[in-house]
Amino acid sequence: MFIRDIRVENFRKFRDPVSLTGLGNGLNLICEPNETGKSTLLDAMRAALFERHSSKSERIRSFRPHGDEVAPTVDLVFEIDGVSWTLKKRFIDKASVSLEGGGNRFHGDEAEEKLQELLGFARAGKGGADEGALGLLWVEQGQSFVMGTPGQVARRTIEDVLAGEVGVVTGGKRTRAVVDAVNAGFAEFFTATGKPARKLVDAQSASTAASEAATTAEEELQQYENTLDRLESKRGELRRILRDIDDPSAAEISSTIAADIDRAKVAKTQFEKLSAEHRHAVQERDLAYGRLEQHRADVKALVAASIALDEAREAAETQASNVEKARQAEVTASTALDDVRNALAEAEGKRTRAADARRLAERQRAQAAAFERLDRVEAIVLELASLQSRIDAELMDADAAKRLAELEKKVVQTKAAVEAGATLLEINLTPSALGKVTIDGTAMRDDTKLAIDKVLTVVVPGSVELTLTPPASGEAAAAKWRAAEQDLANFLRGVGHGDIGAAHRGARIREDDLRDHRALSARLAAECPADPALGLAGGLDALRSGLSGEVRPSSTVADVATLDSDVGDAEKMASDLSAQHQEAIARREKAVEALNRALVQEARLDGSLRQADADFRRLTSVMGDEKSEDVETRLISSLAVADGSVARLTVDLDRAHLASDVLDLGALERKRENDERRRKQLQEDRVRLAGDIARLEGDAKTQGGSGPASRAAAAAELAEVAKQHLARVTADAEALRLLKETLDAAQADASQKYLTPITERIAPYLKQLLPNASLTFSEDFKPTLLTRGGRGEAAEGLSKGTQEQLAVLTRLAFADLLIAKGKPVSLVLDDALVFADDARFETMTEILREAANKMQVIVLSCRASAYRHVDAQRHEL
Amino acid sequence: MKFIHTSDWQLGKPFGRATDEARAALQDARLEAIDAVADAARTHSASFVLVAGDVFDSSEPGDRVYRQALTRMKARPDLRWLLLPGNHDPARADGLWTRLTSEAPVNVTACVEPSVVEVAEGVAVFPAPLQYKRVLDDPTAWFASAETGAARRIGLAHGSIKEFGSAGSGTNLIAPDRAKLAGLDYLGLGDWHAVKSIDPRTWYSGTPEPDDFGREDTGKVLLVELGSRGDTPVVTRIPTGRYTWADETLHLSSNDDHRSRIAQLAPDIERKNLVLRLRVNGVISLSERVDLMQHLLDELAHEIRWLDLRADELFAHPTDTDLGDIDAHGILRAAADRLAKLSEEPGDKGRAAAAALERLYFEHRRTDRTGVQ
Repeated sequence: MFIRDIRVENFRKFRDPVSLTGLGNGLNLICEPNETGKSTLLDAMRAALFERHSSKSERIRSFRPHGDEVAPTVDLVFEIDGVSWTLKKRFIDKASVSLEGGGNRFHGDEAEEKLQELLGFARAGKGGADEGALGLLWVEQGQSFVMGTPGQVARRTIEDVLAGEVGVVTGGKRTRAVVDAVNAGFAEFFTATGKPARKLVDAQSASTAASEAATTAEEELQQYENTLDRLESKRGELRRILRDIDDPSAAEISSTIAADIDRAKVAKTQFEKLSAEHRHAVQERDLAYGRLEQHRADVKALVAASIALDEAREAAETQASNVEKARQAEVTASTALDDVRNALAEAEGKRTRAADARRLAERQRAQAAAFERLDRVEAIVLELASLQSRIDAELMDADAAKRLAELEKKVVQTKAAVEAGATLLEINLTPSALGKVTIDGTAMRDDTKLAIDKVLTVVVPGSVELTLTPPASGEAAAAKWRAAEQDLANFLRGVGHGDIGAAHRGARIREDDLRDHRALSARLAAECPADPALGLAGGLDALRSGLSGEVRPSSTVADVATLDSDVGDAEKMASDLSAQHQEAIARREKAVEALNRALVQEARLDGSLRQADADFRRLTSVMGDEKSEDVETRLISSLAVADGSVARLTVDLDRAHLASDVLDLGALERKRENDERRRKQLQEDRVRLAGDIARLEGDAKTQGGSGPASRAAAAAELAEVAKQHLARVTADAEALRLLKETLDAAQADASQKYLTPITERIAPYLKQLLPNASLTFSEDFKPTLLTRGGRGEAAEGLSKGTQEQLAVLTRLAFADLLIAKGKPVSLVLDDALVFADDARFETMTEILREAANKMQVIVLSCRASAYRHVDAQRHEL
Repeated sequence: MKFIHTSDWQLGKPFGRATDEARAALQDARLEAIDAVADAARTHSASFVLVAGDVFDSSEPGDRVYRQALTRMKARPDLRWLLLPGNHDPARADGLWTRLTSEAPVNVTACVEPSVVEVAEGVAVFPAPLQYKRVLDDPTAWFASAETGAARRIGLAHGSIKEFGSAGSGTNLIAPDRAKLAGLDYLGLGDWHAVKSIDPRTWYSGTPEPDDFGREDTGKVLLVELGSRGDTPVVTRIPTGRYTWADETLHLSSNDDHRSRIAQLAPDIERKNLVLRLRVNGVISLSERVDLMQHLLDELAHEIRWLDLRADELFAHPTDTDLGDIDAHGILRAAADRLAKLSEEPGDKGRAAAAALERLYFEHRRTDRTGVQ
């Protein structure tokens, strides 16, 4: 197939008509810059060939230039098998198609169908046309490196071509129908992942369910059988119980037990009676024995009592003399004590008297001293009185002295004030004048210097009489001074002193008197201390009053020392006698004690004697008048009688005991209770069993009514059938699996065979591009593996450039294959090989050039320079 | 005096292996056999029916079967029915028979005790009921010692006849000369599903409705006519069965006319009443096998009551024609060739391959029929 001319109008960016004419057989190169419309040209070619002219689809409408309501039109001239065809297609507005060639002309659908026939593609559907081989070989921009699976129609075409080439018949639709049927059958048994699917699962579940149902039915049957077994066993039990209830031997046993119990009761009573008698006999015997023993003891005791009585008497007599001796000793000790006591009393009196004398002497001495002190004190009192009168007479007490000082000070001060304002008169006396000059009549003896504060008259005899008058301005001060002087004078008068000096002396004397008074008062106090000997408190008054009634002792007071000696002697004597007194007391106490002991002993012995006497009397009375030997004989014989009675009863009791042992009443009663319990239990069991049986009969009827045996048998058979069915289904499934696997394997083998021509055809191209490399395809013709130097690389993992180059080579191989089978082939590459390096690019263009010898190759590119070296027909839009 | 001797009704037999429809029909047929027995009795003026054991298929067949049986017998009040428990339905205390004894209509007697039943004036029946599935003692042993004033003595028992000279192993064994030993006019036996005469007075009646494959002389009751005391009874077979259970084997080879051979099976038997177990074996071509199986399963199986087909031993040998039919070339042929080779291997693998190949052939046929080219 060769594309010759293309004319496009109102198609996308081509509003105005654009045409490309005179495309040649070999390599055609259309190099235009970007945005010129190369890709649009390819779209227009596709539209013309593959889109139905009548279509109004979105895709078709997209052919119109943007915003223009025009009719896209494409005219195409192409040549197939030497026949030139002219195709004119107009879309949307007045859509039309015409195909003219080989002397024929087609319109409308007829033209479309003819096109499909010529080019081998499927009618355009919703998703666009499946463009068949041309779709594979017309590679639009950006798709050249895609090594995908060819479209359905293209693949089918290739497959058909290959089938012819390798001589394998695929079987076509029929084969596919069979394979599909097998796959569908397989899908009924297995899922895509090989797990059991519906049919198999159903059979498995059915088998399991049937098996379970059989088990259940069998269990129910077993339950039913079990019910019958239990019913039978219960009935047997009930029969046994009824037999036991009606058993005459059981009744016989009951009456035997009752009789035995009666006999046992009699035996027991007998035994008890004999027991009591036996106990009584034993007591009697013990009493007899006791009496004999008592008698013997009494005899023995009487002898002993007689001896004891004699001994007691003797002891009592001895003791009486002892008591008398003790009484004598006590009297002696008492007398001695009285003597000593008297002597002691006398000595005590003596001693008291000596002490009294001494105490009197001491008192007299103290009184004498006190009187002397009083004498001294009275003298002091007088002196003090004298002093006090003087003190009282002198008015210059401390206050007055103080007042005087103040007054003097006032005079001095006032005088100074007068003098300060007065004329100073200084008179220096010549020796001749001495005693002659007078001032106010007073002769001067000394030089004088004085202030004139009053009218003075100085007379120098013989020469001058001077009258000096103080200035009138100093009169006030002078008045004050005079007042002060007056006050002083008044004071002095008041205190009875003529002048200041006397006053001062008076004050001093008064102070001295006060001091003396204090000193005397102190002495007075010292002379009047407290006197314990006389019971006097301190102080003058105490002394005076203490002595007021007393007579001053005479000067001849007894000598105390002598008196002391007398007292000491008397005390010593008293002390000695006191010791003797104590000893005498002790001796007497001992004597009294001894006496008391003797008396007690005497009393005791008297008691013993009385006891012995009483014992003897009592025993004598107990023994009575009967002779001791006779008594013993009598008692021995009665003991023998009692012994015999005990022995007889013991034998009887043993016999009764044996009898009651044989008929053990307790055991018999227990037996009777057991017997009654057993009968009661039998009745209860009968009732219980009757209930059980009724219930089980109900169960048996209900369970039996459902036919457990039949159901079990049926269920078992059904389970077996289900199992067999499962086996058959499984076998079918396995057969299908094997069939599917075999078909798949056969298909894979066939595909491998188909691929051989492709790998063979791509080999020479590949050799130029990648020496020593080979390319493997999948069953759907997709390049999968590139093997270089024995090492495989997944096609998806190759570089974009290599992928693109391999994709182009693969298309060349397909094209070769198609050409060989006379299929229309045209290779269009839009902006291909953009990822190729310079060397590869050159190789690829060389390969394309070679391929162009066999087919038309149209290369659309924006890279004019890249193709400059290529020998090709160049075209411009 | 005439009576009917029958046995082994086995009412309620499940027939689990049969298809659902066949199962229902076969089960119904057993109940209808009661009516057939009654009809035979009436037709031949028999006054009572002795059922020698295995009245029911199991010791508890369920209320439906039980009620159906009683109702059908009750519906023939002129007939007296004597039922004997057999090894399938032993007379267990409180089980089926206990209920039946208390609920049976007046004309039905359950012989659950080994004691004489006077079935008619001067006619004493000696029943030997089984209490268990298996008993070691001869249940008829008591017949000899039982004295009655009756003129006629009829034994009724269920079990096998003790082989002469055998060591006596086995169960429910009956002395072969019991009739003679016990002075019986007739001994009616059950357990064997076909008619069999042990001696002129001792008979197995077989089942009135066949229930298993491959038995001769079955599906009948016995009409027994007792003449004067000491006379040999006159025993007549009366057919009652509806279904014929045939057990056939076809050995096939290639190029036989398979269809006509099948058509010749069980001649004279109405197809609707035929229950057929068919064993086919041999080696035939793939196409023949597919044809044959289609014929058997799609045609014959629907024509008769029930087809129990055993075709495991019928092998398909794929001929060149078979393979050529599948395809001359292409993947179908390649797969067929592989499977054909594989099917020659022994064991499951070969069997599976043969089945796979048959399936392939079948699918190819079906595709052909649908006209896909």
